[in-house]
Amino acid sequence: MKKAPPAMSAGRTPPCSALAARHAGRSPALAAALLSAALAVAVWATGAMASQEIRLGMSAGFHGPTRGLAVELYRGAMAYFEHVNAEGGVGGKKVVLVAVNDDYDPLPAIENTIRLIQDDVLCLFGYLGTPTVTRVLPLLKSYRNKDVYLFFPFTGAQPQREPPYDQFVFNLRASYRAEVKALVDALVRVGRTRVAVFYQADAYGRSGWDGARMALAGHGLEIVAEATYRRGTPFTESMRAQVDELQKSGPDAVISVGAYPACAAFIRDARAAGLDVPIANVSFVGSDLLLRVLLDAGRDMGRDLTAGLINSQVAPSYEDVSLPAVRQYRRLMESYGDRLPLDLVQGEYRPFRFSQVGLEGFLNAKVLVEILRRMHNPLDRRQLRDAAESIHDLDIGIGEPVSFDPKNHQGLNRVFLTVVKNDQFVPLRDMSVFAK
Amino acid sequence: MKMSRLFRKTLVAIVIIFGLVANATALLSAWILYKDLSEEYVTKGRAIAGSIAEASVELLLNRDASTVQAMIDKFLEVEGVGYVYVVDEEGRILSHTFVPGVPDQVRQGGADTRDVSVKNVELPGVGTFIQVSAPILAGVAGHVRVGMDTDIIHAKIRSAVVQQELLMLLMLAVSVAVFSLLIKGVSRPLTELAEYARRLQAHDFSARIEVSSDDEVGLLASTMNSMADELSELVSGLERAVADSTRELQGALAHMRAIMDNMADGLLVTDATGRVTNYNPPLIHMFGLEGADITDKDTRQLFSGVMAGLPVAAMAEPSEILTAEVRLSGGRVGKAAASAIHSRPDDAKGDQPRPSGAACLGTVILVRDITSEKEVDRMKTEFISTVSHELRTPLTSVLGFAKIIRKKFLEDIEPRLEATDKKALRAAGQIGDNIGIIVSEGERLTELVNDVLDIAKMESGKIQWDLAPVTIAEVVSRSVTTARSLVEHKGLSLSVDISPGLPSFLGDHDRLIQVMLNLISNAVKFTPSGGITIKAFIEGEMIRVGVIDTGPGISQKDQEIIFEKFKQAGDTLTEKPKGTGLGLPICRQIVDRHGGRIWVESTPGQGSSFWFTLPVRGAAREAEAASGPLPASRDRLQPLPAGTGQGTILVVDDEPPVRLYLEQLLADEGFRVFSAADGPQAIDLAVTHRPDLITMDLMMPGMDGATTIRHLRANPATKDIPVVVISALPARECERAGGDASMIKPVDETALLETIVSLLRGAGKDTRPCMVLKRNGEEIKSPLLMICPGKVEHTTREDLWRRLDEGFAGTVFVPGSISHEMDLAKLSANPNIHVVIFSE
Repeated sequence: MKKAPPAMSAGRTPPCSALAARHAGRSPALAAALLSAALAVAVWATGAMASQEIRLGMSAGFHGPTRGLAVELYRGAMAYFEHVNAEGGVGGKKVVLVAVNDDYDPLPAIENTIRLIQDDVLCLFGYLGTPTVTRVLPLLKSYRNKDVYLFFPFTGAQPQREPPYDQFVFNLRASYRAEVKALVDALVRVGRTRVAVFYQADAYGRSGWDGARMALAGHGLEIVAEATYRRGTPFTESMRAQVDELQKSGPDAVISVGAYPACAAFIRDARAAGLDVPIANVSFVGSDLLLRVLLDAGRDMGRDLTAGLINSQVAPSYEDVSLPAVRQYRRLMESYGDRLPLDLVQGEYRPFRFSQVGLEGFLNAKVLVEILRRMHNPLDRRQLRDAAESIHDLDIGIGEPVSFDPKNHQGLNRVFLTVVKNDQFVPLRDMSVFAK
Repeated sequence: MKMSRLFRKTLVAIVIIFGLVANATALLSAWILYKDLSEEYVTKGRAIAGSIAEASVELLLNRDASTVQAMIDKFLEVEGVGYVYVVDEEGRILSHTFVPGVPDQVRQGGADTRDVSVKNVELPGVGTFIQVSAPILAGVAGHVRVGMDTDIIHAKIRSAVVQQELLMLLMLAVSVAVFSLLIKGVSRPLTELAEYARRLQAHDFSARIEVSSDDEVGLLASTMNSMADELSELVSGLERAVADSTRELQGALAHMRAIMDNMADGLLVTDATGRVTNYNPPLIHMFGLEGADITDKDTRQLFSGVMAGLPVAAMAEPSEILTAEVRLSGGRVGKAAASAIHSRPDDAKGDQPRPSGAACLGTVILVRDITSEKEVDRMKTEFISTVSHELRTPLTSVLGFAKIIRKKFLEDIEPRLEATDKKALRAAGQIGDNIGIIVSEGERLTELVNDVLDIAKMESGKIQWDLAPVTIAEVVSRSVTTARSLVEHKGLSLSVDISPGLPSFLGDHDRLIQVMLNLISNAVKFTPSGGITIKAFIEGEMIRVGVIDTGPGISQKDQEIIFEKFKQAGDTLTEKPKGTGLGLPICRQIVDRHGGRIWVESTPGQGSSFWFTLPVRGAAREAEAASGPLPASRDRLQPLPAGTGQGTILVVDDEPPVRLYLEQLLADEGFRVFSAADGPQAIDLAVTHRPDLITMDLMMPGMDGATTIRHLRANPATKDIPVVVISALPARECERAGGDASMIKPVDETALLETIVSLLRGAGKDTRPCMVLKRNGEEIKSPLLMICPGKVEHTTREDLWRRLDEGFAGTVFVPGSISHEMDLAKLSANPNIHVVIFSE
């Protein structure tokens, strides 16, 4: 786990040293004196600047199956933070995102969190993944005296939305329960009542499963079949056993709650085994990443693996340029370019210029900045809560207002269903195409 | 790699032991591991289940499946945890860790209990588990089930066992290597020692072995060295001794060989099968076997006749020495003496000593060339017969005529003398005395000649003993009868004391009578007054006979000499010798020949007792056969009826005096006599005149008596004329001559006359005939036939029975050798016949 060095924060040169550089040309002695003065100032400035930074702590799985998610999440957030900082920051203070890798694993996540807190980050931001977040929650409780809050973790799980931990966490994205419920409702509406669940064998998958169960129970139905896979299973692994497990009960729809490599493998093996029912994924799957894999695999297999795919999202499509936030996102991403957190990324990674995850990261950053602006002292943790809970019907440009209050730390509730068309995810306009 | 056998054995042992140990320890540790791990897992499971149960109360109540999941996922990392799942109070699974799916068995659920329970669960396709189930909030919130993966236990056990086995294998390899080195250290010296022993066995005592180690092997080696030295000494000592013995033996053998080769007699040694094993040159020469290799040949192949069968015969009679006359080459005669060779009973021949008697190893035969002896013998016999004939013939005349003269004188002349012619009377008396003296002297001379011839014959073994079953009672009574007149004449008493029931025995009847008569006559001669007692009783295996007189006795000095030839008791110079002095020697010869003993017991002044013993032997053999009556005794001594001397007799003798004597004798008896001087004349006269009887002399020039008889028998005109052989030749010759009876010169006139009379009587049908059984078709001649009063016929057995059935009455003579083949009981039951069994 790396700790982001302070230099991470920009790539910007301090302005004082630029001044010093101009004056240095006049006379050597003066130049030297000025240079050293400039340096001193620079150092002081940096230090002053340093205390003028608003540091946010982010622990995510930058390696492994969640790499794409982590990187895009980071990029999206960073694009906005850079924009804000470019305009003077918050209260003259720059926002710095301190990102560390936890391998999508609870124990490293816990260690990272402790370290970040010891490093006096203002708050925790943009954590990725249910298993990690779920295990960090008790830490938040234990640091309650220190007013440590987790903002906008990229997970739809229930634990951080429910007592006793919901008071330490602010969620922006809709929960899995909401996502799954939307999917179930849509499926049931078109007559697909035999719903099976394919899910990751951990808290994340469990919460999706739980959501499906509750949603189906609402319709008086039950999960007809379920299959699990181990967290970290790569795309190359065979999901045939899981496919067989589900096929035993003859489902007419599968809700898939997993990571994109396993879900892609499942889709591949399901289609190969003749399971052609609609497969619905939740947003955490990383639709763009999933799509990329499916397209490649589909080309290799000679079939269209994107057919029959319904993915739920908790943020609008990044193609929807009618939305100002989307437009702003796209513009900021263009200027951010393909920059990567190089010390975190291992091996080859081709970033997505635009992605759902990135949009989410962007939106997360936007809301957080708003919270920061509402603080008198953006460096004082104690003011975070009130500032956050003061947000009511905030319009962040997605056509959906964000609201928090002492009893509700769930910002958004909207679920968007998407399908693949022309190798791209587009909003699902008519569910009846999936009618039985 | 060539493994020593020792090593191979130990290797097997090592492998087995290691195998056992390895497997035992592996199994034990597997068992222990299994138990421990199972316990541990159960404990873990309980702990986990308990901990989850405690921690998940709130979560369950909140229905927070996701957090429950996060918690149970945590425990999945614990070693040994196979699965964890949580059910709510209604048994619906809230969270689980199954991939890819929940097993049906689990889905179906199980009984929920209030308490923590442990059970073994087998999930097909997943594995076997120890499932610990714990209630959450006493079951109100739900249950947690933790499945501890026993497959892990099994895998651990397997791995532990495998590791142990591998370790054991390694140890085994190491041990084998170490052991092989150690064993090599032992087996190599042992092999060397074995090699050394082998060389010793091959008598290479010079071999030496190095003692290189201090242990038992080294000790063995040094001991073997000393053993080799000992052996070497022993062996050389033995070799020396053997060489010495061999040399001695060879010397002795050479000596023996020299003796054998230089013997005058021929030596033949055979083995137990009759094959020749040894011989000497004289034997070869004797049998003309020069140039032949007779070793190992059977005697039956090499020799003929008696010699061939001698080994077998000798071995059949192990304690006897058999003698036989054998024919040698070149017309010579030999005498072979064969005896069987025995090994002594203690000599262990073979594996065990023969317990009963000795083993017969073969025979040794000595052959002596007795051709010259036989020649001498033959000459002796010829001499004796010639002498006897030459002596007897004149004696016959002298004595005979003397007796005739006396008789004529006493009967015809003396009574006719005038009683007044005193001179003539005196002269007649003198003449009578003189003639009496001539007669007695002539008789004495005859006696002497007989005795001398007897003793000469007996001493040269020429006497033929006619052994037959006799009883002493009969012998004594016969002798007494004969001698009674002599005894009474001297006025002595004669008493006989014979034990009853004395067994019969084999003896020569006539000779025994001779002994008795001799002793009795001696007693009479030397007893002036008193009496003579004859005793006979059984003494052990002998019959003791004694003649006791009341004479003056015999001095010790005389007792020593009286059994010697020509010695008499008393001073022969002053006293007139009585007898020939040959009587007792002759008795001794006869008694000795019977296997007995004769001696005298006497005290001067108290009489003398002459005793002799006769063994009771051989009587049994004849006794069982002789169930018939005793041989018909010579009861022919019937008084001659007077005046029946009718008949014609032809006297044949080449000596005129004899002829004259016989003529006169017979004429006196009323027979018409004519004589012939030789055979042809005799035949002529016989044919012409058909006499009623013929007396035949044997020794005649030209045609001898036997031939003459043969001619007579061959001629149908003369074949039935009875012939009495009167000859000086021994009895056997007379028998063989073929006459119906035989007499020996000088003849006893009475006997002669009786014989003639009985023969003449037998010419008729009313004299009892005799039938003699032929033996294997062979006619047997026996002097006993002489007693046959009537005609003698030789018949076969079948003829005999036929004749008996026809009513034959007479005497039947059965040869002893075939007597056992006859139904003697039936024979003797026949009332018309006497049965006589005689020996031939």
